[in-house]
Amino acid sequence: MWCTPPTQRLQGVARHLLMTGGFACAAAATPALAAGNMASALGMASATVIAPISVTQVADLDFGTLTGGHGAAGTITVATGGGATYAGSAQAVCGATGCLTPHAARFAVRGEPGRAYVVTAPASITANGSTLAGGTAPGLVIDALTIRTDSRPAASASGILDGNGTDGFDVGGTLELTPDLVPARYRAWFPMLVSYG
Amino acid sequence: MTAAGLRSALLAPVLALLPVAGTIHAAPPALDLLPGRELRFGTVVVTDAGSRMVSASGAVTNDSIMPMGFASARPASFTIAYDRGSDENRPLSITIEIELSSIPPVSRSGVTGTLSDFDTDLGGGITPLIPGQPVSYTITNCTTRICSTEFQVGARLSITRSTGGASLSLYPPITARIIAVKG
Repeated sequence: MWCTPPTQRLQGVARHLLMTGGFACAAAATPALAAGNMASALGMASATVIAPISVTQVADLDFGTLTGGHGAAGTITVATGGGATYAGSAQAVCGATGCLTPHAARFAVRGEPGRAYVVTAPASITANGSTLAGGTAPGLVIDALTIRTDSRPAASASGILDGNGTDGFDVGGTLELTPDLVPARYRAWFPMLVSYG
Repeated sequence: MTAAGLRSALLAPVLALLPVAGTIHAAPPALDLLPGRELRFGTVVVTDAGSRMVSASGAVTNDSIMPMGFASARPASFTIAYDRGSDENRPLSITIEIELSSIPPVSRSGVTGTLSDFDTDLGGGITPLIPGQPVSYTITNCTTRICSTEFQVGARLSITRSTGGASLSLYPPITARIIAVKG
């Protein structure tokens, strides 16, 4: 690279051009370190944080008071939409104060508004029996657990939280009565798993 | 000397100089810092407090949070480009100082996010990027008009949550400055 030095004899426009060229040459010989020696940028970091989903039991799955057995099997099915169906040897028993109406279990869900969630239930559980005399009765199987959410009743085990982040669901099921049913109070605990989906 | 003679004497050197001056002024050397991808932490479920680290290599680690998928988590990318302003191919070594500014926590709808533990794959022994502490990086053997290097930046996002959820956006400012050009 060469530079033409400014000439003292030049005047006016000619001198101005030469001086400009001289400065430019100096700048090019020592690159940058002027206006273009610095640059900045804004990065961006993003995240979506959502509240944990929670589920609270509101009501038990209750098969009521019934009789059955006597050498024949039977079933009682509690529907999520309400009502119970008896089959085989199973029959409802009403006491002096009336009938204890079977009903589905009820759960309340709370989480991030607008988020979808799924409910998972076990395929079957066993209810342990306690006889009136304090003994132990053979267990009874509860299966065919069904789930019906308020927000998506036709979608089985999935729902969507409303604008307040709430929803609910019912759980029904079928209690299998054995032919040799022992009179007792039967109780079972079963886990319900709710997660965003 | 006559007026015409003086004009000729002036114009000759001016015309001789113009191409030189024109070439030099066309593109002065320049440094550019271009943001590429954003740093994404994805979607996480936080009970009270937790953090997610997305490293410069893209590795994701969680602490006290429940992930809602890893697919969208990724480090940020930036490109530093030096334009020498001419097409000459003289090898240059460009030393650049890179500085990340401090980033205040961001709070929204009961959720607060804080960035820390920045790391980068820039090389040259630079692993952590500490806000306010510049690091030097050298582009060596630059023989083209524009020499550039892309680098990734990862970080840890610490989250505290009192109520609800929120989408957080943080904007870490980063500056690059030429320290020396040798060649």
